[in-house]
Amino acid sequence: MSISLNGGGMHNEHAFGDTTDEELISRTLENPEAYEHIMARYEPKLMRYVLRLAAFSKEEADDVLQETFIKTYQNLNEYDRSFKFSSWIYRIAHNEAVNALRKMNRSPRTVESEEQERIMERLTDSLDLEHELDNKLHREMLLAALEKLDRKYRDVLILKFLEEKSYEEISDILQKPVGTVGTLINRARKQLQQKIRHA
Amino acid sequence: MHNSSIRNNVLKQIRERGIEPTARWKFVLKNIVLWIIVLVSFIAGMLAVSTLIHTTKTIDWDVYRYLGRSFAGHAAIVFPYFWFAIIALFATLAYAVIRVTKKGYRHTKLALVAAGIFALVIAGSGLYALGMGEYIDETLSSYSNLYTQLPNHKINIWSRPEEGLLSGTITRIVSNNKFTLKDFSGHAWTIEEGDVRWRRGSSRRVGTKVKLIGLQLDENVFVVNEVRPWTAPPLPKVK
Repeated sequence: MSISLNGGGMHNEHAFGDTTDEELISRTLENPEAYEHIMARYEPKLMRYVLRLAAFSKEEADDVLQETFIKTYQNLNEYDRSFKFSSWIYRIAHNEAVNALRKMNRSPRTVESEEQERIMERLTDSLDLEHELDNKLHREMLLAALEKLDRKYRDVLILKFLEEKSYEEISDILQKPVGTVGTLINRARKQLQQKIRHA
Repeated sequence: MHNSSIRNNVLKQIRERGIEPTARWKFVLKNIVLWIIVLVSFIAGMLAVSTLIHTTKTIDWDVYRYLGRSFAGHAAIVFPYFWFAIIALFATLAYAVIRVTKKGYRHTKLALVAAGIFALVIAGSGLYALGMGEYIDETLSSYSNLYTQLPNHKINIWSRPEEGLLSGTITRIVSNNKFTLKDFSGHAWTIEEGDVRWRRGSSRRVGTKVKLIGLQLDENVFVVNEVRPWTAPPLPKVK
C-alpha cells in the first residue's frame, strides 16, 4: 500500500467536491490515498463536534480525531450504505470522545469562550429559554445549568441544536431509538429549564 | 484542501503500521454468527415455553393436602421455576445480541420485549400442541439426573410414600386387586387396591407409569385409593 503524505488529492480538490461519501469510500477501498478526501471533508465538522462534547485541549481533540479516522478506515467495509455516512463517522467520533474522557477520568464540561457564546445563543433560541433568562438576567445560569445536565441530555442537545442533526441522525449516532431521542430532548429541555429556575 | 497535520498523521500511521480496512467477509461472518445466536436462543426459548406449558398443566395442584402444606405454599414449591429461568436466560441472550446487531438499537426495549414474548408464546404453544413440551420433559426426566433432582420435579413430589404419594412403573398384575410397582429409585412395591379411583388416562397395564395416592402399610406395601396417569392424558379430540 502506498500512501502519499503530502495529500495525494490536493490537486483534485474541486474534482472531489461533488463526489458523494459513498463514492469516496469506494475509491478509498480501491486506492487508500482517496481517504484523505474523506478526512478533509469531515475534519472540521468532527473537530467542532468533539470540542463541543467536552473541554478537550487542542492536542487531546487531535488525538480523538486521529483515532476516529483510523477506526473509520479500519472499519470501512463494515459501513452499511443504508445509513448516512456522516451519522456513522459521527458515531465513531462520539464513542472515541467518550472513551478518551473515560481514560482521562474527566467529566464533560461546557466549552469556553466563543464556542460557549454560540452555544448560549442557539440554546436560548431553540429551547424557548428567553423568558427564564430575561427574568434572571444571568446567562451564567444557563452555563451553570448546562454543566450540571446529565451527559445523555447534553449529548442530544449538542447534536440537535448545535450540529443540527435530525432525530434519525441522532438516533444513528447515539444508537438509541428515534422515540427515545425525542424523549431525551424533551427531558433535557425540562431539566435545563428547571435548573435555570432553581439557580 | 490545506494540508492538515491530523490527516498527515493518520496517513503516516496507516502506512507505518500497515493498517488496512478489515475484510468485508469478517463483518458478514460476525453478523451471521450474531443472527445464528439469536435464532438458536429463540428456538431454545420456544422449546422451553412449550415445556413450561406442559409442566404447568401437569402439576398436581391438589396434592398439597397430603403434604401438610397450604395451597399457596405448595404452589410456590411446585411452580416450574426452572423453565422460567431457561426462558429468561435465552430471551435475555437474544435481546442482548439483537441490541448489538447493526440496527438493533432502533427498536425500543419495550417493543423488543413485547415482540419477543408474543412470538415465544405463540411458537411455544404451537410446539406444546405438537407434544414437544411433554417429549422434552419426559426425555430429560429419563436421562438427566440433574433434572429429576430439582426439588419441584414431579418425581420428588410423588416419591413420598410416608405422606401417601407414590409413583413408578407397573411391573406385574398380580390379581384383580393387586399389582407390583417399581418406584423411580428402583424400590419394588406391592400395591393393594382398595376402593380405587382410576383417573382418565391412567391404565392398569404392565409398563405404565402411574402416580398413586394412598397409604403406606409397611416398607414394601402401599394401599392405593387413587391412580393418576404419570403424563397428562391426551387432549380430547375436537369434533
